[in-house]
Amino acid sequence: MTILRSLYTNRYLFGQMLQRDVLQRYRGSQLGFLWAFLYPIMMLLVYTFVFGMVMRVKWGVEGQDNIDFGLILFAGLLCHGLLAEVVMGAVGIIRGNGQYVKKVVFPLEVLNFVSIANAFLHMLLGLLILMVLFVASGNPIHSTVLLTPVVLAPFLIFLIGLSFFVAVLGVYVRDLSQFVGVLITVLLFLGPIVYPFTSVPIEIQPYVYWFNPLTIIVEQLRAVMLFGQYPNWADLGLYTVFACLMLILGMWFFQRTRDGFADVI
Amino acid sequence: MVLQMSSNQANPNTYMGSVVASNDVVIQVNDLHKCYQSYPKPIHRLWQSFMPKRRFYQEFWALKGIDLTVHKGETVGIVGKNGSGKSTLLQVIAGILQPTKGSFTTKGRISALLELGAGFNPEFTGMENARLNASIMGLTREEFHDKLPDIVEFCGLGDFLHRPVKTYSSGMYVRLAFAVAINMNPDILIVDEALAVGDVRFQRQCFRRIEQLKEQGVSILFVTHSTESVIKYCDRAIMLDDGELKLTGSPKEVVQAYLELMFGSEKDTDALVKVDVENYKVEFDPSIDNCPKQASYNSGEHRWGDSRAKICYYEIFQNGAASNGLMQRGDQLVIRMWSLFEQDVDNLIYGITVKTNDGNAIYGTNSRALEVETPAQRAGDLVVVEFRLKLNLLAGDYFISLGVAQDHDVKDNIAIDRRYDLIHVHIRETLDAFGIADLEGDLSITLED
Repeated sequence: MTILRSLYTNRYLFGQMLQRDVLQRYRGSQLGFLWAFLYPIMMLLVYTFVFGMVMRVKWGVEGQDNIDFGLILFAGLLCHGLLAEVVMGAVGIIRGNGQYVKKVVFPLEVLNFVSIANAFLHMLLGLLILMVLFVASGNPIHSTVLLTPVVLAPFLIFLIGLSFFVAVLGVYVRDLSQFVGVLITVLLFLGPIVYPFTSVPIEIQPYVYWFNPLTIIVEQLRAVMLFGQYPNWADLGLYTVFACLMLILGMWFFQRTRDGFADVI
Repeated sequence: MVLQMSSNQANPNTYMGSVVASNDVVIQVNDLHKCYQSYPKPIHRLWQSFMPKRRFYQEFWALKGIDLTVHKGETVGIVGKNGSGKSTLLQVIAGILQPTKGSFTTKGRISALLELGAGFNPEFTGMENARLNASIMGLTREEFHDKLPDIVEFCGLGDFLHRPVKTYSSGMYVRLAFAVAINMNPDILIVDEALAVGDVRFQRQCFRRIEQLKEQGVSILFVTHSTESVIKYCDRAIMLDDGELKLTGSPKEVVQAYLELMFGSEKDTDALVKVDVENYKVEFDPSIDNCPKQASYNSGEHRWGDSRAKICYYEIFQNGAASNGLMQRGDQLVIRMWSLFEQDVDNLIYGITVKTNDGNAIYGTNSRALEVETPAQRAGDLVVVEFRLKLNLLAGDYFISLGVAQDHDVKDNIAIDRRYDLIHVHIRETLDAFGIADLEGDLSITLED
C-alpha cells in the first residue's frame, strides 16, 4: 500500500523518468523513436515469411489454421518479451541505480514502475501492429478485442509483484542474472508460445498451465484478439487472485528488505 | 555531485519525545549514533532482514552520540580529519542514511550538495538532469519553470546545458549541481566539500550566493578542510573526531583546536624549544625513510626518481626552534634535508618548491639557480642540505616539495629522488590581509588641499 501511495505522490517524477527512459532507448540512433514501430513490424514480417511462406507451418489447432502462424506466434512472443524485459530489468534496477540508494532520498519503488511502464508501452505498440497486420492480411476484427485490457490487467499485476521480488533478490544475490536468464528461456519453451498448448503432452499439461505464468495469459490474449473467443473467465479470475497475492508478497518483501540496500551496494 | 534530497517539505518531522526548544531551531540532533554493518556477502544482509536476532555483520561506529542544534539562518562549519564522521553526519541529516540510535528532527526543505556526480545521469543533458533533480526534490513543473532562468544564469554553462552531462568537466558538474541545489528554495543547505572543485571565480560566486541565502534565513551546514572558509563564513563550528563531537564553539576556537589536532598540541608550538640549529644533532637510521615521523609530514606526498640517492629525513625549524608545521606569517623557516647516496653521482641539483593547497607553485629554487657548488657524492655518503626561506605568506595550507636531481645537457635534469608535497605547513589566520602572498601593504589617507 505504501508503495502504491508513493507512486501516486511521485507521479510527476514517474512521468519524467518514464519519458526519459523511453527516450534513452533511442537516443543517438538515426531513426529515433521510429524504431519502436520498426522493430516489431520487421520481426512480425520475418516470422510471417519464415513460418508462413517458407516452412508453411500451421498452428495445428482445428478452426485456427486459417490464421497466419506468424501472427499467433507473435502474440505469444509479445507476452514473453514483456515478462523477460520486466524481470531482466528488475534484476539490476537497484544495484544499477546505486546513487539513488546511497546519495539521495529517492523513492526507489518508482524505478520499478518506470521500467515496467516502459516495457509495457512497447508491448502495446507491438499489439497495435499485430492488430494492423492481422486485419491487413484479411482477417476480421473481432469485438472481443475490446476485452484485451481485461486479459492484460492481471498479467501486469503479476509482473509488478514479480519485479519487486526480483529487484530485492538482485541486490542480495549476485548471480541472479544468470539464473534468471535460464528461467526466462525455460518459460519460453515450456509454454504455448511457439507451439499450441494442445501439443503439450497431456500428462504435463496441468503443470504448464498453472506453473508457467505466461500460459493462461497467452491463451486468453490469442482468444480475444485473434480467434474472436471470450476468455476463460474462471481461469482468468483465479490468475487474478494469484497475481494479487504475488503483488502483495512482492511489495511486502521489498519494504521488509529495503533498509539493507545501502549496506550492500 | 550533488544531490538534492527533499525531506518532508511541508510538515516538520518530529520524532516522538524530542523537544524542540524554540521555534527557530531547524535541525535538532540528539545522541545520534550511526553504525555501519559490513557483511561477508550481500545475501547475509537478506538473512539479517528476516532473522533480526542473529548477527551476520561486523560493526563500525561512524558516529557515537552526536548532539547538535542549528538555528534558523545559522551557518555551522564542521571540521575534522578524514574518517571522523563528518560526511556521515551530513548524510544522516539529509535523510539519506538512517541513524542507528538517537534521533534528529529537521524543519523545512533540505538541499544537499554531497558527492560529485551523484544524481546525474551522464547520458542526459544538463537541462534534463536539472529538471529531474527538481522533481526528485518535490518541485512541481511550474515551480521549476519559475526557477529555470535563475539556474541557467547561475551555472553559466550556456549551450553546454543542452549537451549530455558526460561531456562536462568536473567544474561544470559542480556548477550545475550547485545552481540546482541553491535554487530549490531550501530552508537548509548542506554542502560537503563540493566547492573545492570549482574555479576561484565560481567559488566566490557560490559564497556570495550562500551569504544571500543566509540573509534570507537559510541555515547552512558546511563541511570543509579549508579552515579559512570556516572562519570567514560560519557563525559557529563543531569539530568531530573519531565519530565524537569534540568541540562546539566559535569558528576561531574550533579551527584552532582542529589545527592542534592535526599538527600536535598547542603547547608544543608555543613553548617551541629553542635549539642550537647550527649544531643540531639528530639520531636516525638513514637506511630507512624517517620523514613520516615528522608532524608536518604529508602522507599524500608524491615520490619519484631513479633512487640513486634517497631523501631519508628532514627537519624544519621556525625562528630557531624545531617546528611541527604550524607557523605564523613572516616566520624564518629552515629546512634541513638528509640524503643517503646509494651510487656515485655528480652534477647534483638540490631543489625546493612551495605550493598552495590547490597546487599552484608560489616559490621554487634550487642549487643550480642559486649557483651553489654541489660536490660529487660517493655511494654511502649522507649529505645534509639546508634551505632557508622567509615565509611571507598569508593564512592557509602550503605544501613544500624537496628534491635531489642530476643536471643533464639534453633532458635538463634527471630526477633522483623527488618528494612532491612532502611537508605540510599551515600559516595561521591574520586579519589584516587576504590572499596568498604578504606584500606588506600599507594604506594612508590624506586630504588634497
